Amino acid sequence: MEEVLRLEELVEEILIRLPPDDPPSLVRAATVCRQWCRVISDPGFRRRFVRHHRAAPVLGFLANLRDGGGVEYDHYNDEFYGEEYDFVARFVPTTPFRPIFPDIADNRDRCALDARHGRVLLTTTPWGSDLEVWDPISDMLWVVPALPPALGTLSAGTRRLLFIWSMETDPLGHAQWALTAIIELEALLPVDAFPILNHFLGFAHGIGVFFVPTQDERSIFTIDVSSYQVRREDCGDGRTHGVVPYTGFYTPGANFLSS
Amino acid sequence: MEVDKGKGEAEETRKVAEADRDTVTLKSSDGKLFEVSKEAAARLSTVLAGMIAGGSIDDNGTDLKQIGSEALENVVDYCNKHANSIPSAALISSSISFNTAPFKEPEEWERKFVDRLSHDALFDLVEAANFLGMERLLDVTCHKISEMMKGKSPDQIREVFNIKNDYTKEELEEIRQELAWAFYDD
Repeated sequence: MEEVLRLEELVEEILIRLPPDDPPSLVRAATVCRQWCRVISDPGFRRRFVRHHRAAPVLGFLANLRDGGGVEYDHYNDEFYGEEYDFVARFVPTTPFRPIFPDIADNRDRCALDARHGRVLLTTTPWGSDLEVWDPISDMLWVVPALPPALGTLSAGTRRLLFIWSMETDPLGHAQWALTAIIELEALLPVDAFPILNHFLGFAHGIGVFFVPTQDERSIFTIDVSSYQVRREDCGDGRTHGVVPYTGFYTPGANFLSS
Repeated sequence: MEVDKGKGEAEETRKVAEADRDTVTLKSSDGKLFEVSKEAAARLSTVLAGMIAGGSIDDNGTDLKQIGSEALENVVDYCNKHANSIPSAALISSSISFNTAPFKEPEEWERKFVDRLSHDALFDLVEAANFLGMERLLDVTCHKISEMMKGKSPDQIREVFNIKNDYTKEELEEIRQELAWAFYDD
C-alpha cells in the first residue's frame, strides 16, 4: 500500500493546521519520518504556521520571584540591614512546552519586564540598567542597550473586581473606551483558594488571559476571560512579585536533529 | 435553474444538456460524469473558474484524469451543499482575504460533511481539492486530518498515514531525550 499523501505540499497544508496551543503535536509529527521533519523545520513553514494561526497561544508566564530575608532600612542609623533578596525570573509553563535547558528557565538575578513576539525582556537585579532579551523557544540570549523604563505589566484591579474596557468606535468614527464586562474574581476562584492579591495583574494581549496572584505569593491563577476558565499554576519556590505572560509559537526549528 | 436559451448543443440528448448554461459536466478518471453548478464551481475552484473563463469546458464531460469517481462525487456534493448554504461571514471574508484572513473554523455542515468520510475518501478528497484549487475545501479537509492526529503517538500517526519510519532507533531516542516534554504521555 502506498502512502496516503503523495504530495509534500499537502503534508505541509495539514501540519500547518496543528494547534499552536499543543506544542507537542509538531514535535511528534517531526518524528514521524524525515520528510515531515524537513517540512516542519523549514523556515518557510514557521512563517506560514504563524500567519495561519495569527494569535500566539500562552505557553507560560515569567514569574518574578524573590527569596531570602530581604533588606530593611534602619532609620536611626540611616543604613540598610538584613540579607539581600535572591531574585529569579522563572519560566512557568502552562502547556507541555519547556525551554531547551530547563535550568535556564530560572533566570537568576533577573526580573522579567515584558514579553513580546516570543521574546522576554529581562533586567538584571539589583536594579541595574542591564537589559537582556531571552527567547525561550530558541534559547538565545541577547544583551541590549538600555531602553526607556516604560515597559511593565498592567497594574489594575480594585476590590477584586476586574473591569474590562475595550476601545470601541461609535457610528461617527470616534474611538472611545467602553466598559464591556465586570468580573468578580473571587466568584471565579475555587472555594478553598488562598485569598488573592491585587498588587498586580498580568494580561496576555489578544488572548484574553489574566494572571492574578494568590496572597501566599506561591502560585498564580490564570483566568481566561472568554471561557471564564480558571487554573492554578504553581510557581515553585519563592514569593511572586510580578508576572509577565509569555505567548509564542513553538515550532521545531532548523536545529532539530541537527547533530 | 434557467432554461436553455439556445446555446446548448442540439445533438445532446441527455437531459442535463437543458441546463447547459448553468452547469458543467465533469468526468472522473474512471469515466463517470457529474453535473455541478457552474456558478458554484467557478466560485469554489480556481482551476474550474479558469477553465470556464477560458472556454476549455467540454460539454460532454471535462476530463479530470487525476480524480477518481468517489472523490469527484464528494467534490460535487460539497459544491452543491455550499451553493445551498447561506453565505456566511467566513466565506465572504475568505473571498476578499488575499490570504491574510486567519483560518475560520469549519461550519457545522462542513464538519458533518468531512466527518462522514472514511480515511481513504478523506485523503482522496484532499488531493482533489488541491488539484482543483479549492481553497476552502482544502482548508476544511486539512483541518479534519490535522485533528485526527490529536493525541496520537508517532507510531499511531504512521499507521494512519501509512508512512514507514525512516529514522534510526538512536535518532528517535535522541529526540525523545532532548524534547522529553513532547512525549510526556507516551
